[in-house]
Formats: sequence, C-alpha cells, structure tokens
Amino acid sequence: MNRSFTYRASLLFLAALAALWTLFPFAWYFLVSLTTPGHIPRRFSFPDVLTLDSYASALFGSGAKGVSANYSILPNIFNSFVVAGLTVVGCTVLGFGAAYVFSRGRSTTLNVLFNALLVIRMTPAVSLAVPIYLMINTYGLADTHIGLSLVHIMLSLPLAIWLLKGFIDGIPVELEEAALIDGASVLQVLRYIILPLAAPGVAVAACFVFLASYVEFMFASILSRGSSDTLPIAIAGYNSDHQTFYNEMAAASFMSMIPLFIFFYFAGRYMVRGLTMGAVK
Amino acid sequence: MSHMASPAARTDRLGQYLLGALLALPFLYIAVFYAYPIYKVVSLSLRDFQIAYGIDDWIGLGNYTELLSSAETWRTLGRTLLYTAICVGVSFGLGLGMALLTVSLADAFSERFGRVFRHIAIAPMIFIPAAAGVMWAFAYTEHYGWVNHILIALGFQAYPWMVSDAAFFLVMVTDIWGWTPFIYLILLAALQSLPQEPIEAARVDGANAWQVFRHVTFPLLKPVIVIALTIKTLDTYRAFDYLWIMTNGGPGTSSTTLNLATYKTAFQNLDFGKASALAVITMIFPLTVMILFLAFRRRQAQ
Repeated sequence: MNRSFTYRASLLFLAALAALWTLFPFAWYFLVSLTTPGHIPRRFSFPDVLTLDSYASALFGSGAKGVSANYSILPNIFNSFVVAGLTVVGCTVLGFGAAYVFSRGRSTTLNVLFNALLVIRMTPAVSLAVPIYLMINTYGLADTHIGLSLVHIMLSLPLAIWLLKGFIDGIPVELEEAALIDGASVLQVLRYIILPLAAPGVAVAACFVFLASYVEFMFASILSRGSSDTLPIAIAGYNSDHQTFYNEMAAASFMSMIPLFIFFYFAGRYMVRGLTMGAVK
Repeated sequence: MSHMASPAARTDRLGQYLLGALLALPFLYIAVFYAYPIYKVVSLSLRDFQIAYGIDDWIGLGNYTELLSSAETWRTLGRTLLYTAICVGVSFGLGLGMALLTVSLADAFSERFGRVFRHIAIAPMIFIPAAAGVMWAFAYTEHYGWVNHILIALGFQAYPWMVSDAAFFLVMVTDIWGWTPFIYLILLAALQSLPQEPIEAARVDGANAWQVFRHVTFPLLKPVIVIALTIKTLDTYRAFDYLWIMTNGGPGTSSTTLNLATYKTAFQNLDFGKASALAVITMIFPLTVMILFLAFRRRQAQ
C-alpha cells in the first residue's frame, strides 16, 4: 500500500477540506448565537462581544424589547416533547405486535403488507396534506398536541415496524416455542419473552420515532395556529417579514440540537439501519 | 392468518386470532390516516373546491387539464427533477468520496483517526432541518452573512443571494450539506463490512487503487448503492423544509418545486381542488420508483 508522505499529506488535506465544509457553517453561526443585536460582525472578523444573553433571551423571552425577541421558546420545547412523546407511545403500542407477526410469520399477504409500509414511508407527505388538514380540522384537533401526534404516528409507523421487526428477528425462536409448549399464551410470550429481550431495540426505535416527530416541519406548520407550535416552527418563526432575530434564532437552533446529541450518543450505531428502514444493517 | 414459524403457535387458535388483531391494529390506523387521505385527495382533485369562496363542484379532470396545459406546471416539474438530480448526484459523489477517505485515513493513520473523521463528516446531522435552513439562509444575508464577508474580503461586492435567481441552487447546497452524511454513513458501513479477500487478491495481482475500486469494491457495493440511492432520491423529491424555510419557493416561483406548489396552492391560495390534483401528480414519480425498486429487490431475492 502506498503510504508515502505525499499520499498521507493529501489525505490530510482532503480531510481538512471536508471538515471545513461540514463544520465552518456551524462555527460562524455559533459565534452569532454568542453575540447580541448590533454586535453581529458586518465583515469577516471575530465578534467584539461574546455573551450567553441570546440563549437567555430565546429561552425566557427576556430580550430588550424591540431589539431582541420578546419571545420564549419554552412552550415550544414543551410542545415538541409532548407531541414526540405521544408519537413514540402510539408507534410502539401499534407497531410492536405487528413487528412480531412480521418477524415470525411467512406468507404472501405479510410480504405485500410489509412492502406497503415502504410505499407509505416514501409517499410525499405533502400529497396527504390537504385531506389530513381537513380531517384534523373536522374533528376539532387543529392546534392540539393530539392532532399533530396522530399525523406523526402515521408518518413514523412504517419505520417503527421495520426497525422493531429487525430487532425481533435477532431473538431466537426456540425460547418462544419452549414457552408455548409449556402452555404460555401468545400475549404472555410477547410480554415476558419478546418485550424484555427486544427492549434495547424498542428503545432504539423509540429514539428514531421521537426524532422524526421532533424535526418534522410541514404538518407542524399546517396544523398549528400558534399554541401548539413545535420547536422547528418557532425557530423558523424568528425570521419574519418585519424583523429577523438572528441572535435568538441561532441560540434556539443550537439548543434544539441537544436531543439529537443524546440520540447519537445512545443510538448512533443504529443510524444506518434506521435511515435505510432496515434494508442495510 | 399466516403460517407461523412456531409449530406450537399454529395449534393455538385463540393465539392466531390475537396475532391477527395485533397485525390489523397498525393497518387499521394506516387505513384511516393514509389510505383514506389518498382516496380523499384523488376525489378532491376532481372537484373545484375552494373553501374560502364556498365553491365545491365536481369538474371531472378539469384541474388536471388546467394544470397540464399550464407551462408553469411543467417548469415546476422540471425544477423538482433538477433539484432531485443535482442533490442526489452531488451528495452521492461527496458521500462516496468521504466514505473512501475515512477508510483510507483509518488505514494510513489509525482506526481512531478514522472514527474522529466520521464524527466530523456526520456533524450536519445533529442540526434539525429547520435550524440548518435558517443557518444557511443567514449565511447568505447581505450584511451579516459570511459568504458576502468573504466576497468583500476578496475585493468583490456583497450580493443579495437569497433574492436572486441563485437562491434555488443555494438551497441545493444546504440540502447537499445536510444530507450527504446520510449517503456517507450507509456507504461507509457497507465499505467497512466488505470481504477483504477479493480486494487483497486484486492488489497482489498488481491492480492499482482505481482498478481495485472500479472492478472489485464498486461491484460489491452495488446492492447497497441501489438501496441508498432509491431512498435518497425519494427523500430529496419529497424535500420541503429547506426550500420552504430558505426561499418560500421564491423569488417569484424560481424555487417552487411540486411539493411547494402543492402546499402554496392549498394553504396560501386555499384552492384545495387544484392542490389535490397537484398532490396526485406529485405522487406519480415516487410510486413509479417504488414499483421499480420492489421489482429489483424481488429479482435480487430470487
């Protein structure tokens, strides 16, 4: 293998270029989040003031009126977590049993249904927007946590089932057979054998579902009228026709990535499986 | 109900019904929140349905003939396909390049170095798309954005990027920045799990790096590449967040893709009938790709 100095130097150069590409936008934006209105650099230089004021202002709406946003994202964080939490519960409850059946069963019907999940996952969400908007409004669920999470459950259910099936596939079938021969019912098998063994998989699937809901933008914007705005809507909302609160927008952006950090720490190694709906492990 | 792998389960009738119910549960949900909306969007697309004006008439294919005879619809379709092709193509090139770079770095320096570079390469993934959208839009602002700062430092004039025709392509840059890690992670995982013997054998036979890649690595990666490209293509086609947040489809309609056109027709013009027809048109491409993909997988499985 060629390990010459030139080879290694060019590898390092390419790595530096790649790092510049992925990290530089963050670095600049991070500096903006550490400044206050009037102190954002207007040329390529380091800001003259570094402070956490914009973070406090974004969180508590404590910014100077007219200059900073007088708006707190705490309710939006709450909305995001409630909606994502409800979505996780819904997807797990609805998906777990079906994932088990998909894992253990063999039939053409199951194959068709399983492929249907892939088609659902790939349907442009905007194609469902009008009917879902009308449905949610008809039942008075617009601008509620339940309304949005009902939609998010549908969006994430295919992914949840695919992921859960992948994890249940890894549990040896002999355990269930032994239990069934000993007279356990199907529900007992699910409750006392599959669920405990698949618990890490359930946690990973829950993480994916949580994040999918947490970052979802389109339905969150259609179905909300203000009081159920999730975090992405609030972040985009700092940018209005009248005034843009760049500092708070940057601070809120950086705070919004905390759940994703935690996710990468715990479930990062399942990322590929989740991204490809289990098609690549 | 299906044949269960477990013989004991097959004898338990009650258990079979229970399993059937467990399977039916999510599909009932899907029937209400997916199948019914699909039926509804098709039937609405045949109506002149404008809530604000109290109009709701059956007009057959009227929405479709109106849309298909309008040049703007075709331009929108062209933009959508251009957006998809450029984003997928560049993300794939960059992702593959960075995956190969990671493997080479681990090989030429240390495993640890490779892992550190991996973290750097996937960094864009930890930003939610809405935040990435506003971050990049900010980078192009006339007075505060670093893009113009660099231009000025190099002696050029500041340029109002986001209100120019360049905006559409700048959104693509954001999309590529944000989604290259997706392709990268999949290809890297595949590269790292490749069997080493054929690669070593080719090297021993005197093949150079390019020949090894072209004739050994690439063919081995092909199944994974097909999956990654299919998912990425459909996800890019569905893309909404970056475009909506960065440009609202503008200036004018210069960055309006089918997704945004559907959204704007529905929720800005409140023309639900026409929006439904656009929604149906939007679904044609992904449905075709999905059918081809499933056929490909079927052939592969045989």
